[in-house]
Order: sequence, then C-alpha cells, then structure tokens
Amino acid sequence: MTDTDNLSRRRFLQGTGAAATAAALAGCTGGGDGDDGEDETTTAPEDDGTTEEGMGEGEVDPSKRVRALNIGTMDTLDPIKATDTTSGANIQNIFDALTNYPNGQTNVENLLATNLETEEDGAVLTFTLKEGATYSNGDEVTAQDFVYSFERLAASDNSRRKSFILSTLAIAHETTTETRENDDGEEEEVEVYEPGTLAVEAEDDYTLRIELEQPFYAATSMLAYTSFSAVPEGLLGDVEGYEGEMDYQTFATENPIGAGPYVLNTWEQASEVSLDARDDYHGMDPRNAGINKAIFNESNPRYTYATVNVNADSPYIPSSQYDPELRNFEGTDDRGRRYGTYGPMDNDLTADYYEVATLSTFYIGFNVQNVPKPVRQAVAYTFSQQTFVNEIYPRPAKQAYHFTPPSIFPGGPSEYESLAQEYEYGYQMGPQLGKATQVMEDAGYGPDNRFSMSFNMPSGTASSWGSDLFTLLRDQLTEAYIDIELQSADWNAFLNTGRQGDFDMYFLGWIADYPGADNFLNLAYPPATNTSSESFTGYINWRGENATAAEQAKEGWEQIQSNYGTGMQEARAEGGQTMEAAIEEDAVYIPLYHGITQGYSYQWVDSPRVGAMGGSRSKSNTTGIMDRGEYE
Amino acid sequence: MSRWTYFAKRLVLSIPVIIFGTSLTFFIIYAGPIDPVTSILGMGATSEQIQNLEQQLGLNQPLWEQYFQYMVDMFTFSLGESWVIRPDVAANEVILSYAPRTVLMGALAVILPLFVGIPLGFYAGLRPNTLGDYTASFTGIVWRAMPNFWLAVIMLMVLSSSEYWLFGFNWETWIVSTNVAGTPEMDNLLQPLNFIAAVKVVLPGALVLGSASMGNEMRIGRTAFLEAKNSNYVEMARAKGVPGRSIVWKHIFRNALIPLIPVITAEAGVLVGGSVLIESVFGINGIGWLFFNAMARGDLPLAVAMMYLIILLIVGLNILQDFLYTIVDPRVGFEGE
Amino acid sequence: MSMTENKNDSIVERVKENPGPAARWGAVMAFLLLLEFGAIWGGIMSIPWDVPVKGLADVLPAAIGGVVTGIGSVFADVGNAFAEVPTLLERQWIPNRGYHVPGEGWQGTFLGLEPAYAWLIRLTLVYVYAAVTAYWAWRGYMTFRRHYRYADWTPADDMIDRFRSHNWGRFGLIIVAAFLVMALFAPAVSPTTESQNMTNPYDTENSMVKYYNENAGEVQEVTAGSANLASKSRGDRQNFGLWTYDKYDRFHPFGTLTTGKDLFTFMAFGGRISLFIGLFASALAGGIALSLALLTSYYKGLVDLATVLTSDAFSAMPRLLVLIMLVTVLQEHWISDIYSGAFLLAFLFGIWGWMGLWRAIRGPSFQIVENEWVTAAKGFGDRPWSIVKKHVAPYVIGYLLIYLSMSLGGYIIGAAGLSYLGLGVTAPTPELGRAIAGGQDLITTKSWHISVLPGVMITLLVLGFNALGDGIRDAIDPQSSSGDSSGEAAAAGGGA
Repeated sequence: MTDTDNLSRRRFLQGTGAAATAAALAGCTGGGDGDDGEDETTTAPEDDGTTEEGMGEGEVDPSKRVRALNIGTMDTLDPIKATDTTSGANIQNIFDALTNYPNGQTNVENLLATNLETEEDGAVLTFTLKEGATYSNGDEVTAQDFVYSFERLAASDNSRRKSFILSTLAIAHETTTETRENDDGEEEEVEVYEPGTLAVEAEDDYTLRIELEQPFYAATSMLAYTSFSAVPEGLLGDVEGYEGEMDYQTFATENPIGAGPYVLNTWEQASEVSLDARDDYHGMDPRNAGINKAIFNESNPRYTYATVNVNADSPYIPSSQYDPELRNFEGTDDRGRRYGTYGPMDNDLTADYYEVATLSTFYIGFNVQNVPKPVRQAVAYTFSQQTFVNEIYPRPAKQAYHFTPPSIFPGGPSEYESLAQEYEYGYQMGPQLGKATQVMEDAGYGPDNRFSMSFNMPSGTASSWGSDLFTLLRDQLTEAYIDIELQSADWNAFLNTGRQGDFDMYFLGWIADYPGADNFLNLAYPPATNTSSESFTGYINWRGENATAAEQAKEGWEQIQSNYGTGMQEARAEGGQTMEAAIEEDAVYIPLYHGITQGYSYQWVDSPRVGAMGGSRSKSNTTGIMDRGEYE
Repeated sequence: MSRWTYFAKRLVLSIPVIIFGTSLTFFIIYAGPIDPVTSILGMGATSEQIQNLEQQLGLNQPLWEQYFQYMVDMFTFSLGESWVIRPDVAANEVILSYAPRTVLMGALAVILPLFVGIPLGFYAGLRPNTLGDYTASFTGIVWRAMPNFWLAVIMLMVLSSSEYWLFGFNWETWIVSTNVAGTPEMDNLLQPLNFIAAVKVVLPGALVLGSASMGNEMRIGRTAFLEAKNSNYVEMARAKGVPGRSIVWKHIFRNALIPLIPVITAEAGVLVGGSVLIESVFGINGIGWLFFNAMARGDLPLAVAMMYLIILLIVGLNILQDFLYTIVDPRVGFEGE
Repeated sequence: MSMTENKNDSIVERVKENPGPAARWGAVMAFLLLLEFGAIWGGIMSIPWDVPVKGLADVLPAAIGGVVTGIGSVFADVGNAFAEVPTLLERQWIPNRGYHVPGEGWQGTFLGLEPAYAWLIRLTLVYVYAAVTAYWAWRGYMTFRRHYRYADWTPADDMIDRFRSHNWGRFGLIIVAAFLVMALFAPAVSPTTESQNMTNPYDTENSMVKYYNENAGEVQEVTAGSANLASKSRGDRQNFGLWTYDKYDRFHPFGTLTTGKDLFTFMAFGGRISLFIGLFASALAGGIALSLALLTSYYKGLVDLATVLTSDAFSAMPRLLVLIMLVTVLQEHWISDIYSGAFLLAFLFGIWGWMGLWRAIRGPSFQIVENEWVTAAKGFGDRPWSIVKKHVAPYVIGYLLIYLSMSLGGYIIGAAGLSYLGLGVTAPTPELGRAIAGGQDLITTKSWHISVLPGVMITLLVLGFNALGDGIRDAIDPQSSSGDSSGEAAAAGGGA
C-alpha cells in the first residue's frame, strides 16, 4: 500500500466517520435513560431469556406477539441512515445482510450468503447468495441488489455510515478532489468518493464479488452490520442512475422493504412501533407473530409499564430499583455468561437473568482545544474507577483502565491487565486529589486563577447516575481549582453539541461495531477527531499545542492501518498499544468502565441469550412466547 | 354600544397583541444569542454550507427584513419546517401529530375543576363555618399548594401500586385495562372504549394539571360568594323580601362569577406551561414535551411555531373572557363607563 | 385622628420629648440584634448584591464602571467580614458533630450529648431567639403606639386586632416566619455546614470528618466528600432515612440525598433560594400590578386600553414556556451566573407575573372607583394621586394581597419545576426541585424521603403564604369580616 493510499484512507476517515460514532454510541449511553448496557436487553425482550433452563413447563405459541419496549424515540428505519440502537434493533428485524451475528454473539454466520471464497489474502471476497430469499414485497434478493445497496451506503446523501464501507471495510473505489474551506478559513483539498466506482460486482444473480483496498481481517463481521443490508435495487432514487420507485420518506418511516423476518406494521413516532412476522422469510420462521414495542422516554413510566404492571415480556429495572442481592446465579454458560434468576420483583415475579460482558467502553472525553492538558490530567487523577464502580454506578460494571475492552485489547486480555497496573492516574485506588492539585499548581493555576468548564452528558445519564458523578467530580475538582458545570441535554441535542465541537468535558461510550481494537482506537486517531472537518469519529479535537502525544497516536494508528490483513495481528497490537499509551499520556479520554449487559425476561419467554455485540444486533425471530397466565 | 360592536372592536384590538407576542418570540429566539445556523450545521460547517443554509433560511438578509418575512409567514400560517425533531417535516404537521394528547388532557383539566371546584366553593360559601366548609376549604387550599410535578410524581407512585395504597382498588384494570403512564392511543377515538381508554390514561395528568385551578376556583368561588352575600345590594334585596333562592342565583351567583372569569380563562396558559412538567413525569409525548425538546434541541422554527399557535389560542380565550365580562357585569368594558 | 396640632412633629422630636420607653426598648433590641448580628448579616449577604453593582457597571463607561465594581467589592468584603462575626447561636458553641467511641460515649458534641440532641438544642435556641426578637419588635410597636403616636386609634389598630384574632392567618404567619428564620439562620440550623455539604466537601482543611474506626480502634479523619460517598440513600439497598446516623456518626434529621449529602442542610439552604425567588418576584410583579391598577382605574380610557393590550400580549405567552425559552437562550449569558441563576428566574417571574395580578384587581378597582366617595373626592378637587392613595389603594391592596399570596407560591413552585427539568438554578446551589427530580425514581423505596420531604416543604411554604395572605386580607378589608362574626371561624377553615 502506497503513501497516497494511506492518505486517501485517512481522508475518508476524516470525511465520513462522524455518524458512525453517534450510532454506536446511541446504544451505549442509553438514549433516554442512562441505565446503559442494561437498557438494550431489558427493553428488547426478544434478545434475552434462556434456551433450555426451566422451560419445560410451557410451549411456545407462534401466534403470540412479543411485547417490548423501545428506549427513546427512533429517527428512521433506513439502514444507511439509522445511527442509534433503538432504530438499529428494528432495522435488524426488517432487513437482512449477507452475514449476521447470531443472537448478537461475536462470531459471524452467513445469512443471505451461503458461501464465501476469498482471494489475495482476503482482499477479494466472493459471496454466493441464497436462492429464493425474498423481500417483504415479494421480490427475490439478488446480487444486483447488494451492488445497489452498497452504492447507496457509499454515495447517498442519506448515508451516515459512509466510513464503514469506504474506510473501515474499505471496498476499493475511486475518489475525486473537492476544495472546501476548513474551520480556520484555509482552503483544503478533500477527496470524496466518486459515485459508481465501488468495486462491488454482481457476477450473476447469485454471485457477488467484493474487492477491498487491502485485506481486512474483520470483513465478514463488518458486513453483518445493518447498514450493509440488502435493499431492492432501484427502490430509492438517492443515488445516481436510479429514479427511485418509492418516496424516500415513505421508505424511511412507513414502508421499509427488506429481506428480514419482519415487516413494519405501524410506527407512531411517539407511542408505538409494531412489526409483523413474515411467513415467507427465507431463514428460520419467526416463533412469534410479531413485536409490539411501546416507546418510552422516561424511566419511571417505563418501569411502571414493564415491571409493575407486567405489560411487556421482560421487566425493566431502573437503577433505583435494581438490587444486586436479588440476583441468583445458577451457572456460567460456554460463552462466559453468568445466568440465573432475578427476583422476586415488586410484581412478585422472578425473571430469568444473565449478565454478559459487552465490547464497550464508557469514558470521559475532553475537547483538547478547550481543555488544557494539566486540567485533563487533574481530572484523571481525581477520577477513581474504583470509587465510581463501587459507589456511583448502580449496575454491574468492570473498572476500565484502557480505551479498548480487555477481550479485544491489542495483545490480549493479559496485556490489558499488566498495562492497567501501571495506569498513570491510579490503578484500583481512590481519588488522588493531592496529585491533581499539584498538576494544576505546577501549571500556574491557583485559588485566584481557576479553570471553568462544562461537563456534558445526555440527560438520560444525568437523571440516573450521571448527576451523582457530576456532584462527586465537582466537589473534588473544586479543590484542584477546577469548576465544572453540568450540561445535560436530550440525546440528540447532546450529540449535536459534540459534533459542533462545543464540548469541554463529556461523558460517552462506545460499543464495538465489529470485534476489533481498531474499531475503538479509531476514536483516538487525531485527524479523525477534528470536529471542524467534514466528518469525524471522536469529538476531542486532538491537535495543537495542548496535544503532545497526538503525533504518537497518529503513528500508532498508521501502524494498525498498514497491517490490516489476516495474520498481521502482532503488528496491529503494537500500534494499538502505542495509541493506548498516547491516550493515557495526554489524558484525552479517561476510561471509566466496560459495560456488562444484564438480560432479563419473564419466565414465559423462550429465547437465546444475547452475546457481547448486544441486543440491537440480534433478530427477534428466535423469541418464543409461552403462556403468560394472568398477564396475557 | 352594542355587544357586537364591542366584540368586533375587541377582535381588532387583539391584532396588536398578537403582533407584540409574536415579535417578542422572534427577538428572543432569532435575535438572541442562539445562532440557528451553527445549531443546525455545527461548528464544523464549511462556509459554503453556512451560506447555503443562511440563504435557504433567509438569514443572510438584514434583521428587519427577516423580521418582516417572519411576521408575514406567521400570519399566513406558513410555519416552516422542523429542523431537528423531525427534519424536513412541516412544523404544523409535527405539532398536529403531538397535539391531540395534550388537547384531551387539557380539556379534562379545565372541565374537571369547573365541575368540582366551583360547586365546592359555593357550597362552602353558602354554609360558612360548618364542618363541610372547613373540610372543603382546607382540602382545596392544600391541594393547590402542592407543586404539580411533585403531585404527579406521588400520583404515579400511588396509581402504579394502587392495590397497596387504595385498599385493593386496581387502577390499571378499572373499567378498561390501560397503562398507568405512557402515551395514550389516539386512534379511533369515536369508539367509546378507545375514548375511555385514552381518557383514562391522561386522567391522572389532567387531575394534577387541574389541581391548581381547582383549588383556585374553589377558594375564589367561596370568597366571592361570601363577599357578594355580604354586600349592600344583597342586603337590600333581602330587606326587600326577595326569596333566598332568588338572591343566591340572581344576585350572589352573578356577582361572584366576576372574579372567577379571569381564573378560568387564565388557565389556558397554566395548562400549556404545566403540561411540560406533567407530560415529562407521566411520559405522555404531547405538546409540552415537544416544546421543551424543541427548545433543548434548538429546533427553533418548531418552537416559534408552537409559541405562535399558543399565543393565538390564548388571545382567543382572552377575547372570550372580556366578552363574558360584559355579559356578567356590564359595568366592566374596555371603555369603562 | 382628630389631633392635628402637633402632627408635623417628626418622630425624632417626639422621642426626644420622652426618651425613656424608647431607650429601654432600643437597648434590649440592640442587645438582641448584637447577639446574632453576624448570622443575620450573613443571611443578608447571601442575597446577590452584585446584581445592581454589576448592572450599573455594565451600563456606565468602563472607567466609572470599574470604580463602581471596586467599591461594590469593598462593600462585599466588609459585609462578608461582618458575617464572620461570631454569634451566640453559632454551631461552634453548640456543636452537634462528634463521634462515638465505645465505652467513652460521644466526643466533640455539646456537653457530650448525642448529636441529635445537640442539634435539637441549637435548633430550639435559634427559634427561641427568633421568637424573643419578634416579640420584642412587637413590643416596640406597642411602645410607639402608647407613647409616641398622637392618635389613640387608627384603622391600622383594628386591622392588627383583626389579624391577631385570625387563627388561619396566624398559622400562616408562623409558618412563614419559621421558614424565614430557617432561611436566615440556615448555617446555624443545619446539622452540617454549607462547605461540607455543598461547596467544598473535599476541602482538607474545613471539611474533615472525625470518626472512630472500629477496625483500627482509633479516631481517624476523612473528608466529608468521602464520608458522603458511604452515606448515600440509594433505595432499598442502602438508606439513611429520617433521624438516622451514618457510618461516620453524622446525624441526618431528614436523611441523606442520593449523593450522601444531608437533606436538611440542602433544604435549609434551598429554602433561602426559594424564598428569595418568591419574594423578589412578588415585589416586582406586585409593584407593577398595583401601579397599573391604580393608573387604569382612575384614568380609564386610553391608558386602560394600552394596559389591557400590553397585559394581553404578555399573558398570551405562558410564563413557564417563556421561562424555558429565555433560560435556554440565556444559558451562556452572564446574567445566568448571578446567584446561580436564581436572580434571572426571580426577575423573569416578576416580569411575567404582573398580568394576572393586574387583571384580577382591575375589576375590583373599577368597581371601587365607581363608588360615591371617590366621586365625592373628585368633586372636592383632591389630586388624583391622593384620591387613589386614600380611597382606592387600601381596597385594592386587599385584593392584591390574596392574589399575591397565591402567586408567590406559584413562583416558588415554578422555580422548583424548572430545576426539576434541569433548568434555572444550577448546582451546587441547592434547589428543592432538583432533590425531587433526583429522588423520584426512589419514591417507592425506603429512600422516599428524598422526593417527598422537599415537596412537603414547598407545599407548607406555599400554604403558609396563602394563609398569611388570607389573614392580612381579612384584616385589611373590613367588609368581609365586619358583616358577620363568622370571619374568624371561616378563615380558620380556609380563609375568607
């Protein structure tokens, strides 16, 4: 790979990654509520439950509909536009892609594909498609549809996932140069995708050939992502060469056509989403007749609805009601998930329960342009992962000392542990206010020269435990001459603030798009954090005089980038660790915790446990509902 | 002058009121520190994008021209499109999709107190110093002293576990099975069962929302009643031997209504404002929720459009109020005697 | 009111003629005030005095403005210094903070008492002091009435007498007074300090908490912040409810918040903010409404029309929505920083509060102006201002007061509602609405107190002001209570 290639890849990252961040984050930080990881599963009952245990007494009734909850409102059902897990969970049910994470597990299975052949170390992928798979409008899924769908992903103005196809997966393509003015008023040349040049080819109706710029070890994982879902060719006119058979708004809100197990019945923006099961689905016939999801923004009504009144098939347990003592573990399954029961709850029911470690990291980030390094370090010294997990965070969680979660950490989980013990800002200890004050004093701050900044977080987080975290940090940081002010906003408003580069200090999370460290570290690739560029993945603006380790991070990323093929793991790990060290040095991200998702479902639900990729990556057709008894 | 002339004049006079309120909204939002363009595009926007958008929104014109354009738009009911909440959808469409729930709740919140508060107040005024008077008065006064959102929080708790708090009474399954909290289904309201279900879902919110007015109405009803009873003309009538029932209805009731009129009409503002809090507690996605989010998320055209419609609504009610004044008490007109 | 001869003597001259009673009274009052001078001054200093100073400085040219702020800051320093003056009832004289050593009892508390009792004693003393001072102020009025007033009787005497026999009004007065005392003496009545509870819990000098560590078998120190972390009320799992001690032997009369901070202290200081907002907004709104009502009822016609239109225009925009709008828009403006945003709220509540009041008293004032005696006064050629002042205002004020008492509660509730939504008064300054929001998820658990108590406090406060308003109204408006003797009894039930 030549330098120019490298450059263009970077450009694209810079140019296309923004929305991806938001998307993956949406689930993590719990759009409306802040109970985090837990949200996802509780509110998508089809994802939880048990397979074998305790299910002898009932039979699944396929004519029953699943009752679920949506957290927060969702924006769109267009796979290339959706950026939050609320939308994602529904899109997952309506659309199918080539591959799939079965039940949200990290291993990938074929879905619309039946076979994959690779050439050139995995840089050329040839998929054979399943024959006879149909969309909900009756058309058959063909290779041409994928060509069209991928082109939409890469070129449509509606696409917010361009980086997935152009830079992460990096399907070979051509670019053109556009000149535009950047933030500082300088003219800048930016390369953008030249429409129609994607190296995706339909060799015949059932053979799809994809050529990547370079081998990518996680290509099949990437292709399982909902934005790579098949859409009938020519359905929409938002890419060149297609008139569009359907109005875009209709597709995105009323009549999305995909090859998934469900079809949209109704979507009332603020009250309910209802999906009907398809009887002509190409895969496993849905074990239920459909899904009704009530939409709730606030956690109390949600709790009342799902738990107190048992109107959903899985309880919702807000942090305030969650009691770790009610967990009763029966064992650990082959994927390391502890399972058992939870209860009795307020409704006297006991739910099936399990915990699964997700590929996620929640962190405090800093806008480097607004927050000087000593302040960032002082916050890092002040923040104690131990205190946070034990005293503030109301759920099970793992203390985080690196940006990449242990299971995909560069070099493996053991490296994570050994490096964590050298964590500069305190490994498993309380707050170090003395050091924080010292750092600030060394930099010339003092009682008469204090530093003020805002602490942004989504209002859902704030209303659950975020305000407690804020209070804790405010109280502590005031001793280190730092004044912070809480700014909480609705999820979208919050992200908008970030996209505009108006954060000072903020709380966010990231869950993996595919199981790879680079997926996390992309957020710390300095050029991809420039909020004044066309697109970006992080909001930290890691550049300038405040950023001494930015160059190191950049080098680390480049090393990862040039070793993307299968079998180049070690070189990637080295680059990854370089980046982790740079993040720690500059304290641009302070890792708080790695998520543990809790899955709950009432006893009458029969569905497999969700894996580490989370509930929004799994389909609901495996969920069965048995006799609900008095709660019918 | 005849009532109709007065009414016509009142209508004409409402125009400056609307202009004032609408202008104020414009200046707060558009001339204030919020920059609509950056709030849509973000700091990372290229100057070209900014210019395009400014052109599109008409923001590159001088402020007075924008203002003029804005006023024309408002008065011709072209309310613009939502930016953030439902991008590119007409504001009135967005508002319409959220409005029915709030309208239902608001209507209940006006009607319930009227039928509870005023009779209670008159009852108390008619029998001052009895146990009934004390109980009614005290309940009313405590009821209205409680913060609405707090009452709503408490009510949500009580109704969620109604069997525990209300001696086995199950709110959830009462009449029709509904959820205690959440957004009511507003389809097919013509079917009685659907209507009842929808009403039941918003009922707790309406009760809380109407609580302040209920207390107010009762209190003022009682005060006014007592006052009118003790006034000269009533004593005169009594001295003349007018029968008690006639005194109550013809003299006391009519005069006691005067101070009640502003309370009832002023409720509209209270309802719209209060719905922000109540809807957030009960999880009802209505107008109040929409306004709060439109503001919080910088969806300025939507917020402005809502404010404009609310101004129209309230001005309409004010006209009604003055009209009622002239009917009940001819002495009070806008021209005085 | 017949004694007109010496009417023009000023009160000073009258006191000079007969200094005895005044001197005796003054001496005692001075003594009483001196005892608590620092505390009272501290309460006064907590009001955002920098508002007028800063406002002035912004208007004036930079050079003069700088001088003004300079002088302002000198005054602020002096004021703060005064506030530091030790007082009789300061917490350090009657400390309630201590630790329990097994076998040795309580250390560090007042007389070695249990902290709860030490705190109770201090609380009681504060209220006793307030009661004595209030009584003495009343004595002052009586002294004035007996020795220095020419008239043997004025209508005000009757009003006061009526109020004194008005149980409901007295109930209101007591509640309001109790809250005023709590707000003014917040530092003294709170079980812990503002610094430990709100502003600087991790300050290693002022916020250290001593406790007996049983494992170590010795007395240790920890910052209040760390102690708070272990004292959180978080539902059924862990709760520090009413009248409990936490793990560090700190006493919490009302339990702790979700952050482990003391709820009573939070509420005492939060009450300050609420009262400030309510009183400031009421004064502003009431002032505007009264002036306008007098103006319009007298002149009618165009003036009335203009006021009607202005009022309609203002009230066409619901207050809460406008406040949400303005608070959001002004979030970054310096005015939002004054008194943690409370000033902006109070100001906006006042500006958006007069229409209802004015509307409510407009009808009555029209009716009053149409009375014979006003026409008669006009006939005598009295000046307009003295006519409205003498003949209209007293009656209008009666009405104004009821509506004002209602709306004052409304301002307090409104401010709490906004902070419930996360707008308005910002942390760490306590606001009752924030506690309600923070605890609402826990309301069905053992930690119900977090949401419930602040709500009860607001309710009581609003109730108190309503009752007080009723009482005053009955006292001022003879019509409602002279006609039948039922006035008092009726008022006891709910206010006439």
